[in-house]
Formats: sequence, C-alpha cells, structure tokens
Amino acid sequence: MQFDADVIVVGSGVLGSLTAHALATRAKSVILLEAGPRMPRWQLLERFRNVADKSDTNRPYPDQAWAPKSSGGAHSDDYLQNVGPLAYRPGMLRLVGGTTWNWRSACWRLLPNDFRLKTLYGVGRDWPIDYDVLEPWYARAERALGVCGNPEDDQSGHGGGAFPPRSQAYPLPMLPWSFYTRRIAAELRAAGFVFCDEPSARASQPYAGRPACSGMNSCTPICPIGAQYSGDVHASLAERAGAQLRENAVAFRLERAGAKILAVHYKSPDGRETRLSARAFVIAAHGIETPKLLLMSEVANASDQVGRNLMDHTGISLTLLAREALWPGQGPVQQGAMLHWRDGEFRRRHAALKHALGNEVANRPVAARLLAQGVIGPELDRRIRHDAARIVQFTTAFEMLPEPGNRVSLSTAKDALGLPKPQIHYDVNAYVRAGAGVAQQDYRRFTEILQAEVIAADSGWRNGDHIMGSTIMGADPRDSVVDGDCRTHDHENLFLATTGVMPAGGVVDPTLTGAALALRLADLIGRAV
Amino acid sequence: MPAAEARLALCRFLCGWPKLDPRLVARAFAALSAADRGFAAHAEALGLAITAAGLADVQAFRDSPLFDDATHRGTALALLGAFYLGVVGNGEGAQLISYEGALMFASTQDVTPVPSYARDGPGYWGLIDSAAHE
Repeated sequence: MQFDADVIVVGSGVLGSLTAHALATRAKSVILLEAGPRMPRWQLLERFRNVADKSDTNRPYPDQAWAPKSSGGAHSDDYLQNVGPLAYRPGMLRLVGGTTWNWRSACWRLLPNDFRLKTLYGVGRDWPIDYDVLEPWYARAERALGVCGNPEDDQSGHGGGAFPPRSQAYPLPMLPWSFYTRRIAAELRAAGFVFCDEPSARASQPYAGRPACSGMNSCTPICPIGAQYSGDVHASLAERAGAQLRENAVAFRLERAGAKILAVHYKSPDGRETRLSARAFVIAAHGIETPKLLLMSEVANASDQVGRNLMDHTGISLTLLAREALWPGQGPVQQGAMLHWRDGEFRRRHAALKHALGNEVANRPVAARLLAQGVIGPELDRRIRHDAARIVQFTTAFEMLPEPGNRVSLSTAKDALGLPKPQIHYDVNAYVRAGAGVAQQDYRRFTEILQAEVIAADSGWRNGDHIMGSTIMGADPRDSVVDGDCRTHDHENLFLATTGVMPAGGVVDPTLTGAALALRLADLIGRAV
Repeated sequence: MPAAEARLALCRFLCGWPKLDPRLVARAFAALSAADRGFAAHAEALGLAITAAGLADVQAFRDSPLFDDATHRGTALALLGAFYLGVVGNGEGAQLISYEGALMFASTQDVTPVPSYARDGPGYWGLIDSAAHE
C-alpha cells in the first residue's frame, strides 16, 4: 500500500515540530502541515515595532482569514466564540513555529504530586503515568529547547533541597538576576517567603546556534535575536532532516475506515482541497484546534470527552508602586516566582497557585497614567523616571480542575473557509475562587513588605495562555481521549501532541511537559512505524 | 509664521524638547486631525494663546490659567500623548507616531532599554547595581 508519508503531523508549533524532527531524524518520511504562513523573525520584529496598539501582544502576528489566531486582528477578534461567563482567549498563533514565537518561555517540570491530584487530595484527575515515566523525557525536552535554571531550587516551594529529582542537569546555567529581582527576592525571603528562579528556554550563553540573551526585554511578543526558543527552531530542523513542511494548509478532516485513520484532508486559502495518506497521524494543533479537528472529523470521541475539561491557568494580578527604586525592565521579562502555594494538603480545599514576578519595562503604563492625571512638563519626565523605577508586578496562576462543562465545541458560525469557528464555554469554580482569596492575602503582605502603594489590584480573571485538558489523557477509554502514550483510545494510529492532553496542569506553564510528551510519543511511533 | 513652523514650535514647547523631529509633528497632526477635524484649529488657537500670554516654557503653561481651559488642556494632552506614548488613538485604528523615539523612554534611557532594542551586551543586568540609579 502506498502512503504519501510514514507520518503526517498537523501543526508546526513547538510540539508538532519536535515530533516531526524526531521522526525525520529516524529516517521516517514526514509531512508537517501548518495552517498559517511562514514569517521570518526580522519581519515579525519590524511589525511589532511598527504596530501602534501594543496592548495585545498577538497583534504583530499574521491575521489571516483562513487561519485566525486568538486575538489581535479583524479576522481573529471574532474567531473564538465565547458563550460562557468568562471570555477564554488564551494566546494562540497560526504560523510556522506556532504560539511559542510569543511567550515568556517558562519551562517548569510538573511535580510528582501533580500527577496524583485525585489520589493524594481527592480532587480532579490522576495522570495515568507518573513523574518517573516522564522524567527522562523532561531531560531531553530541556536539551532540545535549551532551558536554563537553578539546579539547587526546591521547586515544590518548601525551601528544602533540590526538587523535583533530575537525571540530568539543566543544559544551561541560570541567567543572572537583575537588581530588581535580587532586591525583591531578598525582601520577600526576609519575610519568610520562598522565592525561586524561573527556569526558561533562554540561551544564557550561546546554544545550538542561538545567541545569548541580551536583555532587550521584549521576550513577548518576540525575541529580537532568537536567544529565547521559539517553535520555528524545530520547524527548520525538521525540514533540514527531511520533513516536508506545507504552510497555509488547514487540516479539516481526518478520514477513517473502521478504527484506522487513513488520511488527512486540508484546505488551501483559496478553498482547494488536498488529501494526504499516512501510516500514522499526530495532531499537534494546540488545545483548541486539535479538539476542533477531531469534532469536525467525528473521530476519537467514543468517550464524549473531546473538547471537554478545558483548562487554563486563569489568574489575577497586582501592580504596585514600591517605595524604593528597583528598576524593572533589566534583563528578561520574568525571572522568578513564589511557590509556597504550589503543593500541599491545602489542595484538598483550594487551588494551588504560583505568583510570578514580572520584570517588564514600565514606561508605557506609567506615562499613560500620568498624562491621564494631567501631569506635563519637567514634572512629567521626572515622574516617569520615578514611577517606572518603582513598578512591581505580580501575576498569579491558579490550578484549574477538569470540568466537562468547560469545553470547546463547534459553533454554527463559520470562518472564511466554511469551517466552524470554535465555541467555548468556560468558568472558574469555587476551588479556584478559594485560591484567589488566599492569593489576595499574599498580595496584602507583599504590599506591606515593599512599603508600596497599590496601583492596580482589580484585574479580574485574566487568561493564562495555557490551554490544557481539552483532549484529556486517562487510563479509562470511557472518560478520556488518549492513553498515557498520547495515543487516542479509539484509533491506534492517531496520536495527539498537545498540552490539551494534560489531565492536571499544576500551576506551571505546560509547554515543557507537552514537549516531553511529544518527544516520548515520537519515539514510540518511530519504533513502530 | 507658516502653519508647519507654528505647529513645530508648539510641539517643541509642549514637550520641552527643542530637537523634536518635524516628521513626527506632521505625523501627529495628520493622525489627530483624522480623528477630529477641528484639531488643527484648536492647536493653532493654543499656539497663539501661549504666545500672547508670553509664556516662557511648558512649566509656565502648566501654571497658567490657559491649562485650566478645557479645550487648551485637551489639545495639549493630545499632542503630549502622541509624542510621549508615540501613538494616537486606541485599538485597531491606532496610529503609530514613533516607537523608538517615544519621549516616554527618554528619561530612563540610562537604565532600561526601549523594549526590543539592545541596551548593552549579554547578561549586562547581572553586573550592575541599579541602586546607583535614582
């Protein structure tokens, strides 16, 4: 039987490109489909500098009718159809390299206890695999992405020895802390808080062709020099290893015969359709487009869980004006976090949470606020300098629980290709709200410790840009979409490489976990196909 | 005084920046006029009022009754927003005046970068004690 490829991967973001690269280097023939276009870094950088409204970091990215992103353009702003109480609008891009062009590159591992939420704390769901199974793949993912971090941190937030256990050191040494991070860490530690470095996919020294971070403080929306990892790295590596990358190819149907997936059908922007066959298929279209494709195709959903259990790290934030000049904006946009609410018995009662300390240049919001107050003249310049030196930003992420009513489904509204737009119903529950109460107590303490004035404490619920749960992993085919290998229960040759498989997300950015899962499933497919 | 020169003088006066680029002034006026057809006339009136009052600089303007006048105040703040924030308007219809040259960055350029531009080399922030920068 003739196939167009051994494996077809749908989605050229970090997870799809890692998968395609791993398979191509095992001499498998791979076709990698990407809904959006290719764009070079220099062009994205110029678009960022020239875009007037910089409040939506998605805006510099291409906004195409046939493959909208989550926001930041005429086509995209009306794409996700939110029908629930909260507007779920996490960052999502459609171009070669995917959403990690625009991220803060935090690369945490989950904790061993994160895999056993139900068993340990009686809430949520257990993963069907545990930390020890994924650990070697975390190590490989850290090498692939070039992750720097502090090997001595207790990342469970208890101030103990190095944790979680690691078979390999971080491939790169941690980036130095700026004065801002050093001073705030010292003050918080003196008050009894644990403050850890945030591991990130930033080259702290030249790594795999990437230059070292020079602190241009625009990790989001785009690293100007590629010191920060982005998915195009492995999209390029996959092509060089022999994978065939087809951009502007919007997969809309998986064709099956019995339990086997035979082919993927994709549309080009002009509506022309192409059919491609393969021995195996990996859908790596992130946590909204992946369930959307499965629902449109009516595959992999005997459990009725496809699209359900949608989670994010919905959060809140706090902006302070500290007494002391601290100077946020030196170095990368995020360097450290407080993890004292990351794990413990309290997870029976309220959501775990992580406070991240933001390190962004603050001149724009500071100047806008002063002008709105009518400050002009030399006082304006003096006050911009004074206030920009003192802005302190905390962003808090809460662990969600998987709930069937939080879901991605197919809207009756159609996009330019005639495909259904994603419909989303989303809300936070009492478990998360209880966590927010705890976070607010911490906010009052931070304010006291920094002798600060509160600038903004009423952010409301913020999107966390971490799409999880929507094609949930589990041991039981009756209530999950994929097994512990990310293979769909219903189709032996269909795999999902997406953070959408995660049944529990802890409080940390899911990308590294997704990368570990992708490398593991690519290895499995590579041995079998 | 020809209109372009008058506009340039007004903007340099309000920003307290004698080297303000005339191209940015032209861009700002085009954007502000597109949003408000009366803007150019208000700006001209403000410039004449400042001259008539013999105000030496923007500090004097801020302390004068002219700044209490809602129209003059609005005109001044619209222009200052254009040059300090580097943008006119919000959302999809916003117009860029300048990013790298936005005056909101001027007073901190010895300490922090304009985001996406290099201030110094790799790891520079680990080597300095910013307490020296008050």
